[in-house]
Amino acid sequence: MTSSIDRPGTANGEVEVRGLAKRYGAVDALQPTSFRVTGGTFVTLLGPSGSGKTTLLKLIAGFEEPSAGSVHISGHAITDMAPYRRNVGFVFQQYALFPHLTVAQNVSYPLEMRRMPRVAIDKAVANTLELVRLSDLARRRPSQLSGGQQQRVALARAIVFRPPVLLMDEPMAALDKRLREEMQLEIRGLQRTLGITTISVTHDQSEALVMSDRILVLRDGMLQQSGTPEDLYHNPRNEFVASFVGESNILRGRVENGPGGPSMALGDGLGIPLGAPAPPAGAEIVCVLRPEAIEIGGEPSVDHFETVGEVVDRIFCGDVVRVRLRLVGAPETTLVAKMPTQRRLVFVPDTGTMVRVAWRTEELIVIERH
Amino acid sequence: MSRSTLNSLLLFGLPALFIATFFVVPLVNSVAVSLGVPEFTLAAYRRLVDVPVYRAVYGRTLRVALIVTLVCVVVGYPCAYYISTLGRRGRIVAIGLIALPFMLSVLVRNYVWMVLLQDTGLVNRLLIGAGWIETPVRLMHNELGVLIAMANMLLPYVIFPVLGALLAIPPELRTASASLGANGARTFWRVTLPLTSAGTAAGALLTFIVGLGFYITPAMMGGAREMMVANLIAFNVRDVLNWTLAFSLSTSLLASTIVLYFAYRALLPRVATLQAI
Ligand SMILES: Nc1ncnc2c1ncn2[C@@H]1O[C@H](COP(=O)(O)OP(=O)(O)OP(=O)(O)O)[C@@H](O)[C@H]1O
Ligand SMILES: [Mg+2]
Repeated sequence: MTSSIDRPGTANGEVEVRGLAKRYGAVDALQPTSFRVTGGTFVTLLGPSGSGKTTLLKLIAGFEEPSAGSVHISGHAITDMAPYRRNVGFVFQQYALFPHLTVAQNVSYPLEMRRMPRVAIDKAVANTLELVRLSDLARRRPSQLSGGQQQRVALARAIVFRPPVLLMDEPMAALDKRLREEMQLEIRGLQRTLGITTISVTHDQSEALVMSDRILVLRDGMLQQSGTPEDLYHNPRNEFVASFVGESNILRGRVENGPGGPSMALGDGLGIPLGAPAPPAGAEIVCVLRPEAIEIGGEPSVDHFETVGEVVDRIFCGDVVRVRLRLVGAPETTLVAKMPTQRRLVFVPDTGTMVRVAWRTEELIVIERH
Repeated sequence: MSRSTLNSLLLFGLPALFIATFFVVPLVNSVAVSLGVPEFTLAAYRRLVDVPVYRAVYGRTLRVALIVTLVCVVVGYPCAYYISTLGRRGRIVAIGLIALPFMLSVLVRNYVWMVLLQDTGLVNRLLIGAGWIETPVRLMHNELGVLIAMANMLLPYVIFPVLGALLAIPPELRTASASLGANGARTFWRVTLPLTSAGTAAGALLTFIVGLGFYITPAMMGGAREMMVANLIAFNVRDVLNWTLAFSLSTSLLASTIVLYFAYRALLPRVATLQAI
């Protein structure tokens, strides 16, 4: 394969950005950001609308010029390289398929740009179409495809030239929930098979949790935290990450030193014990308690913090029942608990009843202290 | 008869009557005369083919319209492309500048061209002043003058459809092309040009159709030899009073225009579907 296009990623496909930043006029779309993505891993950029996810992706792809910082792929600086020389696959949110070309022609496009011989092109296109299960539709035009099929074409077109790095901007946003969940697994499988370093953008936290080796959480153009899904879920660094990744109850209070060890005082003096290492007495802290960590009803247990709460309401969500509780002694604090649904589940507390509320002390995560 | 039916009868009936009286009847009449009704003969049409002068006028008309169309496409496409790269404000200004001459009468525009192109006109004086030529170059009273003025007047017929097609291309298609390894030139050939080809063809066809019927410009900018079909019709009606021939000329011009119009219509859905994407 002779090519005029540089292939910086013939090596390991590691992506690194150093101090990368972008300003649009007065808007800081991306504050100076640094991170490194290990070759072959799947990383998700997660954040709310306007947090700079697309901007970051465009800077890596070279569609926009950074105001500061540098981009490196497989150890080579590519910051000044034109996008068409970067050899990076890109899946657009609206797919951006060429309407005047058939599926097969769309997928052969990047290979033709690399001046591959026709025979090799046809072979690679056939292979890739098979990989995304589109072989039967090769001669259709994009307008004759469903959304899910178009998405596969976009994916096939972005990987057919075997780029070391694949970037995807909300690839699943235009699909319905079922198809989305199906494609999440399919793309993840494909990514593992090909070993292609992938950076995907989403504002769907469940998608991020399902697909990623690592998640980078962005907010207002600033990187909040990066880590494995488990890491982010169990050790959120701040309130934003805690509430954005998974559901959470946020509790605020002051640390007190009681007879039973350090605790957090809520409302009318309800003391919630803190695990070690506890912050010093007098500190104002913010804690996170995941809904599934809360037990309702049942028998008291020695390693649990035990208290009583009133059931405010219950919502049946299919796989779980979400129960809202008001703790006795802290009427301003409502907690959401999730109870798994089982057909033989005997205990479903009624609204207005008082129930046992309990959790293991170590489930309470201290995230901020002042 | 209710009042509202009476109203609608008046509303649509009167204009219909007007068109029937002053447009359809003369048209049918002219076709009939050209066919020698009541006898029905194609003699007049045979003369169009047989008499060398008429053949020449037809040939020239087709040639001039074709050259003008080519010039308009070659000049108009880059213009449209440039305008499509401008910001919103620049685009509005450019479109206004192109549309502005449409508000002037054709006569006025031709006089402007005469002022520019005659032997003592601005262009010749500038060229002589610059020392590039010694005697004036003939820029009008010949086919060149007709071509220049017609191309100028027909340019918007190419620019607007092409501009429409260009603006209808989603910008991320070009970004996608770049991400797939195509530089600017290849993106143009493989994406931009194919996606604007229907719009360009539509504009070219429109230019050609309108160009076929030009009358004032050839009369003013050309010499006696630059007569086009429309001028020949006028000549036959006014000067030699050969109405049969004039009618056969106009009928054949109308027929070729209708054929081209349907070709244009056949292109339109392709333009529309591309823009819908
Ligand atoms: N071309 C531009 N000109 C000016 N401001 C821009 C431009 N592109 C993005 N911005 C601004 O930069 C910020 C980040 O935008 P970006 O598109 O990266 O967000 P995002 O995280 O992708 O959001 P979304 O989830 O809605 O796609 C936003 O405040 C946006 O308004
Ligand atoms: Mg975005």
